[in-house]
Amino acid sequence: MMPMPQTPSARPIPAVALIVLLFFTAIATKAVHAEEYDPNRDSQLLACDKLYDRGQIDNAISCYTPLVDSDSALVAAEALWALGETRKANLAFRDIVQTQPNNPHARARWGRLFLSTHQPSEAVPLFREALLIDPTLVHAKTGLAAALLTGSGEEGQALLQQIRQEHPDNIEALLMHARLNLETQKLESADILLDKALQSAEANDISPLDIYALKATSDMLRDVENSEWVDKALAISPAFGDVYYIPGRYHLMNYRYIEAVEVFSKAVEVQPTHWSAHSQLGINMLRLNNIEGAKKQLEIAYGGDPYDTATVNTLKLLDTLNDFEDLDTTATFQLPDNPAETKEVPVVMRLHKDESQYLSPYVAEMTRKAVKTFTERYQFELKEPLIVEFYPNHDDFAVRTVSTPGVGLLGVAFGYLIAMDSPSARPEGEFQWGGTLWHELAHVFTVKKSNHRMPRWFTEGISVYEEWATGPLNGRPIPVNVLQAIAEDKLLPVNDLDSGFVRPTYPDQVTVSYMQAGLICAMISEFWGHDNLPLMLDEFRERKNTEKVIQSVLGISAGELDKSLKKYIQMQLGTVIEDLDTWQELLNSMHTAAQSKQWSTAVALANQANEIYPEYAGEGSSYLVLHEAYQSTGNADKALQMLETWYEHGGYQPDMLHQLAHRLRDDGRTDEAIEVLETLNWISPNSIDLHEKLGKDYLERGDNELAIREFESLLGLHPTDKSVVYLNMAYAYQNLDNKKRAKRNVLQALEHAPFYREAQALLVELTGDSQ
Amino acid sequence: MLNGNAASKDIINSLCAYFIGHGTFDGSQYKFNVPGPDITGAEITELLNSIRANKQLVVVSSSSSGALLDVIDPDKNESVNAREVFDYATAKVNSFYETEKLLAPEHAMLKGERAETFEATRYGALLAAQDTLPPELLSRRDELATEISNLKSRKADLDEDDYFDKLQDLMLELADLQKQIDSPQGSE
Repeated sequence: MMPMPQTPSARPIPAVALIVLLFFTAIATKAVHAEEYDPNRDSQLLACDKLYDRGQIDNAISCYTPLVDSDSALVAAEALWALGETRKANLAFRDIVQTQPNNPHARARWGRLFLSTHQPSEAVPLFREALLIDPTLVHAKTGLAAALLTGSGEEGQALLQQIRQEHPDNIEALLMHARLNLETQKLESADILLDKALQSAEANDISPLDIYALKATSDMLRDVENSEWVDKALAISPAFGDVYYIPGRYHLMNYRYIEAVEVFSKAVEVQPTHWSAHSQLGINMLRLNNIEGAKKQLEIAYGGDPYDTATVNTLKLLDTLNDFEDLDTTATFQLPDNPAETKEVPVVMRLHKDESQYLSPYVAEMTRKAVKTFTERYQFELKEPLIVEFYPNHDDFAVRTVSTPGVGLLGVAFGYLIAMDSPSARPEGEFQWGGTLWHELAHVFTVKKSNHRMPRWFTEGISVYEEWATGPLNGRPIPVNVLQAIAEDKLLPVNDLDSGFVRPTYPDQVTVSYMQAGLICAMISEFWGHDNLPLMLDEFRERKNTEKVIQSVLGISAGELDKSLKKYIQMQLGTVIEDLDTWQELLNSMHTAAQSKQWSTAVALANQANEIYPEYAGEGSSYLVLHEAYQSTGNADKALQMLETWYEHGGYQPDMLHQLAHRLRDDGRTDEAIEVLETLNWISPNSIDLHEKLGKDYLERGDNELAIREFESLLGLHPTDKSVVYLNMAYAYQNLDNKKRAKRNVLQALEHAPFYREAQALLVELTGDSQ
Repeated sequence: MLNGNAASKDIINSLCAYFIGHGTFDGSQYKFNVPGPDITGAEITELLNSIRANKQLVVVSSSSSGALLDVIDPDKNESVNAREVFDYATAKVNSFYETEKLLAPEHAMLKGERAETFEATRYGALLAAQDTLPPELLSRRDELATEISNLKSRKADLDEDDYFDKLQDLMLELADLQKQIDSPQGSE
């Protein structure tokens, strides 16, 4: 995955309406299990719960139904909830809380209702209120921890830790703790917690089904086939779909979409009314490019639960796919074990019809280059066709990725299928799409070479490192917030780095973790040699953990790698980390001086800032201020030099790149101007001006094929005068001795402009022999 | 001076550019004559496009300045009609709002279907020779334009190669006719 650059104010507002799931679940899918951890649960309800847990659904319904009229308002509310009457249950709990304002248990139970209907933000205040009334109420504490852990905040983890210390045998806390360990592949630790939970469940006559599902998850993450825990669960409740569904969710966290589809299929097989499993089955079939299968499953899910946002959003997305078209191409690579031989892999570009013509030449080119580069660098041969999807509407991409709009991601790789924001999905210059595609294509190789067994930090690290080392743009851009985190010693030990992606504990930690992982991979390449990176993937494929892989490939412990990273960062960024505050103050003062046009002061401050961190080309770069200062004081050569330095360090603000290209051309440095314009293709390709200039430059230089690429792309942007474009293409084909294509293009030019003398002359010339 | 404005990030409120002097047109390219290498029409357009100005007024009073109208004459018939002027202005305005990521406050509309028939101006060889050309040449020119237009309207019904073969025949005849129009006596 590729995160958004850290510009929180630029986060998009979700455009696709979220249908809020308000109190609707069917009994067949109700999650009654958590309720069983309520130590105060009424014995009549417990008796019904047992029937449900044994898969005796009809008997359970018959058991709960009369309790709706119970004298106890709380029992009646619980029965309504258990029967799927969540709206009525909500009203019932509201009445209880109003009539019994000092009853902490009722508030905690109401919070649980919100929690079970995917509304943790509504649940949190109820748990907090319950704890204000009774700070010792463990059921409210565990509820609060569970609600907080649906997000990624630090508070939930801290609270869980506190509950674990105070109540070491609490089953819910043990299970939550085990889940956190499973998320980060700490399987041994998870097993210890689950075994402890099992003992506690047996001792207290509590259903072990949830624990079995997590034990099965642990087995599946170890590649154990036919887990005994699945059999045990199904022996108790033959329709317990969660025993497959829960492991499926963990497969997803590890990018194992094929395995996830397999287990979700089993979940709906044993429990055909498990609508969430149908929904996830559909969503993940879509990730494997099985569009028809996905549609079928999502329609089943929608039929059973029309309020599931993931289902509804994904069905809407499927409707929009009619506006896309599939363009076929191929990518050629040398066989890793026999470089003398070459092979082709099919590539499908799924692009919106409005932008396929202008975008496809670059998507094809970047994909071909990446396949060639990564096959060689990672010694891995792609086994299946690549599918590359570009979404001009960011929310469509977000739904494609996580089934909900509004996420701050730019791209994602689902095995052989890549989905990402198209350049038009974001304001110009907000991201460089070429780097994003490069990043995602690197994932395809690392994920597939390790058979989806590498940890998150390693695949992200390689993708970031490849963006820096072989990607389409210059420089190694490290955001200021990451420098800040390094200065504050916030980097995680490599053994725990995955948690920085999965369970960040501060706002920028995901970005910091990406950069840390990238720096680790860059360091391994630099200190030990690049070839060790593919070797590590091979070791991960053998299911070794981070500690063991580092030891066996690099010959050091994970702790020693952490120490090496500190030294590496000191070498690479030492000065700016040590003087970060000074550097930031200098930049601020420099901008203040520039705003009031005090150019000599601005220049002096910029030069001081550059002594500390000369590589910085991000937002507010000193080089741009220096450029403006020299430009304003009539020193055009120096101004140009500053722009060039900024560009060399990875600056990619489109208007400044256009200006740089313009100045270079004025100076007669056409080749360098072309290089800058070519860079713009990977940042902001939806520009008529860009393709016009670059096409003409290539034509003039004799790079006819590249000129044709530019002119074809230009036509996709619907320029006012297409005749000139067709004529230039005709010239390029004529230069390539392709008379047939030249003639066709000159006729197309004349089709648009019948009186176009230059085109008429070329037509006469081209038909001279045959007329 | 224009180069300086183009390099500046400042937005100018109004820019008025007067080109007073001599210009030439060789049939494909307009040039404004200055000491040293002349500036081409394309260069002037590029320069003006890169200046961040809310409003621009450009007056070119040189000889052959009509050649600059080429950019708003997509069919290159040396006759600019109301539809072409409207399309060009609309495209430029839309492009500005799109580039600046601004919401366009105006949405120009052109109603009716005969805007193409309203000739706004002529330029180039057609303008230069309009009083001396034999009427039959102009009439054949119009006929060919109609035949081409009719052929284009049947494009979807024709085999692609067949369509372009027919188009080629018409275009070669038109090219020959244009050559006659361009010759000093209007015939060759």
